[in-house]
Amino acid sequence: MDFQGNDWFKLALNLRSSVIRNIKIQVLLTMVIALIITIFYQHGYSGFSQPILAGLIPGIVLGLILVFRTNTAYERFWEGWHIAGMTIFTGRNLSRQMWLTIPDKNLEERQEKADCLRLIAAFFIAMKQHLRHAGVDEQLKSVLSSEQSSKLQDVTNMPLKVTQWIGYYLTKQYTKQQIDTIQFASLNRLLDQLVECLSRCERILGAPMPHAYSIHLRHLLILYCFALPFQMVKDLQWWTVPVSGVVAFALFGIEAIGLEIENPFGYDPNDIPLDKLCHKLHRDIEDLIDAETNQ
Amino acid sequence: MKLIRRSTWLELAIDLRSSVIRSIWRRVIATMIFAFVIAIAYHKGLAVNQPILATLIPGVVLGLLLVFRTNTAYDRFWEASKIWHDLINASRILCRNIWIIVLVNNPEDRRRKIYHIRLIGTLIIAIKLHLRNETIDNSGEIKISKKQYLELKQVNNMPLRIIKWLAEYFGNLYHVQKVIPYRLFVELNRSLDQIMMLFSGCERIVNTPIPRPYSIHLKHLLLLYCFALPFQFIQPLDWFTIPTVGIISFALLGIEDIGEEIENPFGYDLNDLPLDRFCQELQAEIETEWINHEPN
Repeated sequence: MDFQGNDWFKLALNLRSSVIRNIKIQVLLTMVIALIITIFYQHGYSGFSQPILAGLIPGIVLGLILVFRTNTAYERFWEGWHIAGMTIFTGRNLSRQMWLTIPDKNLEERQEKADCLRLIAAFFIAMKQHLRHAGVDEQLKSVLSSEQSSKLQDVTNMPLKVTQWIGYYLTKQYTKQQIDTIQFASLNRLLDQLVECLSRCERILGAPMPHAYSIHLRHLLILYCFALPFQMVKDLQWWTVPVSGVVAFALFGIEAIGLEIENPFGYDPNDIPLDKLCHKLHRDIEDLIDAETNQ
Repeated sequence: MKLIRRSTWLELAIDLRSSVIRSIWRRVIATMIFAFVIAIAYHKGLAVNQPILATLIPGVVLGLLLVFRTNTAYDRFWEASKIWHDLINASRILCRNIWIIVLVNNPEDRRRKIYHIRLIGTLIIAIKLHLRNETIDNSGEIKISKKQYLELKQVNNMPLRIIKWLAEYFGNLYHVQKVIPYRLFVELNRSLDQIMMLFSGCERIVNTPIPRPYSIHLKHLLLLYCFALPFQFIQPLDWFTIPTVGIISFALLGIEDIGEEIENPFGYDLNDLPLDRFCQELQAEIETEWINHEPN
């Protein structure tokens, strides 16, 4: 997501990332109900005008739980960004430390080390795919050997498998006494941090809002919007229809925002651009490998 | 890791299984019966039309109290979910550290190492059982020796006992067998401490009571509010008072019930944390990812 300038109107008219597309059915349905009620009213059924129904769902209650819903969803969204940043940060640290602390005496060892560094980029890409419930993709294949990518195809937790490979490489260096205990421990701790990032992302996906909460909110919204025409039909006559539509748009829209940002790891324009971030980490690691080789 | 299928908007709106409707419908019907009585009284000519009663319980006060109640309950829920996921994470890290740090070269040591990696899966199950106040039963999911199984049946804090066994194993590796250096011994213990801390966090959530006077008072206010409703509506709405009162009490009692539902997140309801699933997933992960891929 690029942070574009502050063209207020351009953003206001940007329909692609807006929630309008997700809520048009709800809004239309509300307007149809309003239309029916208005038609009845115009044909002399004056019992359809019931301003007292404004108290049906207290506005303050609805408002507060609606805002609470969006806030908690935003917290998850924010935490998703936070973790994505932390993954890059840890990945950079781990790759730098590995490149500096593990000695390479010949070209073969250097090649092995470079391959292991690419596994760190592979971890991030595998994590992205795992969070999206997708399999091995082209981006992942480009950083792995064909043997590794075929192995990844049939494990349940791809990123965890990748950390296992990195761990295996570190143990091997340690038993060959290429690195000492302290270096091994600190590299291992960075690897622990990568696993932590993964688990925290899984938490965001695995613990949604309690179902009872989202369902009840939805029921209240439906009741509120369907009660609107009864309150307004006397004053607004035919205008009841568009006005109900606008109110429904406002309320369902807030709810839809909550739904939209609750899972930040998808493909929507509002989600975290994981593809781009993965590419960034991969490029950083390749730069690290290249810089050393050129010297 | 399995995720919740993303259901469509409407599916969720009519999903009654995890909705609060099931637990509040009796209360809603009670308020409707009361409204019915008032409606009859109104038609008999009694002076039950009292719109002034709208101010009996100020809506803002009730609204704020209700939302505050749900918020605090949700806090507990979210914190529990956080701790529990951290717990899964810490166990993963401990498994990985044992796998990577403890090097074995004879079958006996290897058997012990695998046994202790599996013990971590058992530890998570023990924590789950402890939080739910259950005892261990050998349903095939727990792979421990007969002797330790019997021991676990008797202790009153199973997770702590298992943590002790793991610590003994690490101590043995460091002091007796001398196969791990000091620095890595510290590392293993750090992961174990982490699990212990998170376990205490779960216990804290279970043991912290929710102030009873608060929830009782809220219930009183809600009842008063709902029973005052028919008096306000009876003149304009006549017989329609009954469904209207039903809907309003559904809205308010529902919000209150959500608070009750989620404030203890370690139970068995559909709205609680899926602890059984988490445990199974971790065990499956331990079996496939760590035990079947021994280094060297």
